[in-house]
Amino acid sequence: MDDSDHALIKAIGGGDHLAFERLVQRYQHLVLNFIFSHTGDRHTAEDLAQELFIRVYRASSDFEPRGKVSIWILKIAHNLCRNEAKRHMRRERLHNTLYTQGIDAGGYASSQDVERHEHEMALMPALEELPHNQRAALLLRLNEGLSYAEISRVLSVSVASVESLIFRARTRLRQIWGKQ
Amino acid sequence: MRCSEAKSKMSAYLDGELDTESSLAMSSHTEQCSTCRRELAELQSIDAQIQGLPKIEVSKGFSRQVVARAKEWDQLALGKRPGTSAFASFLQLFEDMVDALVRDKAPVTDTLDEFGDFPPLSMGCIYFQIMGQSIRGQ
Repeated sequence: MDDSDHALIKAIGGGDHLAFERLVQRYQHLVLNFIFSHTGDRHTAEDLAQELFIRVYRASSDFEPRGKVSIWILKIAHNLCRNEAKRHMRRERLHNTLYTQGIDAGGYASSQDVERHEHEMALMPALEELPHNQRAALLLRLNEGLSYAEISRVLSVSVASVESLIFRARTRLRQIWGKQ
Repeated sequence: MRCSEAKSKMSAYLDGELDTESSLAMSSHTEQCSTCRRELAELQSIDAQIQGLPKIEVSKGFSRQVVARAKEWDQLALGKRPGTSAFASFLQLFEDMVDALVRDKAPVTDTLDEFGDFPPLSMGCIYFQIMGQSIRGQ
């Protein structure tokens, strides 16, 4: 069975639930962490991730086969995050949840772990201060390894704008970092 | 290459988005200029820390839950198929019209949402919360 993204989308369009489950399993980690990096709340991230996949399921028959499925999925994720962030952003949440994640992951046994954790604690508020599009562009580049052209399709902006967004995000982070 | 030019291209250089000529000029400049070299190292360090932030694991059974929701949606979609009676057809037509109206409102809501947050408990805030839930609930 051809299990390329496009083949799965085509099968999903025909009502194939097995193909849908395969696609979900393929993208669930990427989607969940992308949304989590914006909402900072695990439950919200899971709810939005579920909603995203249902949208994919419903729209699979309309998918334009020339495009990349991953870009399409990230574009939906970006729109969901943008709307959610405007309604529910809580500055403390991301900070606190990541702290809890660290503890849950087994605590900070060594001094290196403690040092690393302190860096995370300092970095997260700085990352949160960035405007949504700047943060999204930077995270898509660093965490998902997308090219500027791909990011431009996810964010629906020009490639030059992506370059500018990432440049400004890094400049801002460096300024905040320099003050600490 | 001047430092001002190097600073403006540093981010794209880190991402491998410069053309070969500009990339070589950047490499050559940062080898000679300690200030730009230090700045580049700082940006690389910030990148590495962002990439090293903890990731969350997907809950067990997540994909099955999503598939179950898709099946529920299928059932709803089947239930909406026009019936044989004239009244059922009329009902279906009415439902489709309402669906179309609500769908048409979605982009408007997103667009208006762009204007920024509303104060808590304001009429605007309550309206957009209800609209958001209604759109997401579809």
